[in-house]
Amino acid sequence: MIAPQRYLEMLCVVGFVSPSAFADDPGFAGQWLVTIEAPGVVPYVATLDLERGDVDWTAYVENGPAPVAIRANRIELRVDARDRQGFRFERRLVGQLEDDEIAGIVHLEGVLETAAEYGEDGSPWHAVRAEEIPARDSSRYALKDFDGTWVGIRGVDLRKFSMDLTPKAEAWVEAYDARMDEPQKRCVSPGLVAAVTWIFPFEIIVSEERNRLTMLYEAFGLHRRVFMGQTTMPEFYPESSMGYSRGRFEDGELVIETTLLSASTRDFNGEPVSENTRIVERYYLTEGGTRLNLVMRMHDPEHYRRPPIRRRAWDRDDDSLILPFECDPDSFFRQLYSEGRMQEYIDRAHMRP
Amino acid sequence: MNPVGSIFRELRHRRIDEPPVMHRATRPLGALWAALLVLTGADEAPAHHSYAAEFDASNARTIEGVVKEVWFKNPHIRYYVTVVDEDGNEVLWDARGLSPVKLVRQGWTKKTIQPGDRIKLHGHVGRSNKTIMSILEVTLPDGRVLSSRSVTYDIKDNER
Repeated sequence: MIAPQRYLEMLCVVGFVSPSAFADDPGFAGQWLVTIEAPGVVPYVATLDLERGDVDWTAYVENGPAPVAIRANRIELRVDARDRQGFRFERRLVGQLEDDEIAGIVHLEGVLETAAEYGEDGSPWHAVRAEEIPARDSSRYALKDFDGTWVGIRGVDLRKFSMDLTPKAEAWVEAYDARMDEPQKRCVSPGLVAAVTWIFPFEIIVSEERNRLTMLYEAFGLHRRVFMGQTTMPEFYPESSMGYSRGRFEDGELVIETTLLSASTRDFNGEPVSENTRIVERYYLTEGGTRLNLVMRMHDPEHYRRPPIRRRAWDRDDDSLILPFECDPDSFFRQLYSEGRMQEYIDRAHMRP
Repeated sequence: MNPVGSIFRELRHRRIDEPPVMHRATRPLGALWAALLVLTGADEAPAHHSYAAEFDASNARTIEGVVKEVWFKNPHIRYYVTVVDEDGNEVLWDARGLSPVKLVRQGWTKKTIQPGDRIKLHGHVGRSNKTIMSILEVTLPDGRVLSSRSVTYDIKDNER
């Protein structure tokens, strides 16, 4: 007769039951903050959630799924990302847990030589428990300190590729054809998430006497107003790709909540954004007020089981100009015509909400 | 901070009497997806980003021809270039680059390349043998080389 433990191990091997259910937890469970020290860029930062279920462990990086394997005090995470041109690659984080801190090395797989991330292979990474991170002291900053022109810097955001999509969102992404459906190809706003986290510079104009901020984005000449301290919204305000933003100032940090968004896409992979989406941005200053940092969470339960997180950092450069961004889709339509795909484009109107 | 070998690989070779501590599956097909990532290296270009959908990053070529038309406008500049192919036929290439707001900061303006100029273009070519190209470098008639690679331009203005 086979002993119960032996029987269960056999089931594990043939794939019915994860063996993880029978192992001791070396202390990985919980929320961590990962930092990758890559050369030439501001360190990458990302949340890492390690959850132990009844059978399996799951890992989420920036709230997107990441395959994970753990053996004793060793961990290996596979974090997919995109380079600036949209090509997918993987950061493989291998490390060890010691003294309640994880540390190791990042290996890049599938990254193109032309990608800015190409030289990051072998970079060190570490993770600390989120609850052990000391609170930022931003109290020295006033709202007017956010006024100025901000130029994006490299790093900070991993550009996590896959998110935890609902079946509805997965079906949308499957049907999405960026060659025809990507809004910016026809000079349409790419949506708030992409506009804010894009590398183009932007300017913040603080008007304390009017209790509002105006943000001017070079990308597609977009702009938005942030109404400070407002608790209600005008009923007639129409949905738009930039939405309706209300702000508050909390201990030296600027928090913006945006609703009334039109159906659009998130980032550049065609993942959908519903009209019921709520986006929360938290801006804070560092480096004596010369660096602006953003953590953005997008809440759209219709499409995402967990809210995607994006990050961005900018350096102050008040001498920088916000250039005009006149856009003309002529060459896009000319290509469709020359390739005989104009009718297909028309038939795909439902993919352009 | 010692680098360790692939635990995923170890899991594939585990023995029955040496079970690993854990593995993952975020969704019912998650384990299968994880296995595919391991086996394929996850280097396949996605079809949901327009650049990756249109251009083959593993196929960089150099072409030379005469500029027929300049389209120096957002969202991306384009040069329509007449190239004579190996059979002596004239083929019109649609070569595109970054947005003007990025290029003008580097001194690359709409006057830099004019219709009638003979230029050499190096870049990723289109999938399915389309005569489209994403420009990595341009060699001007006077021999100067302009690069739109992020490693040579100020990265602040060259990524998204």
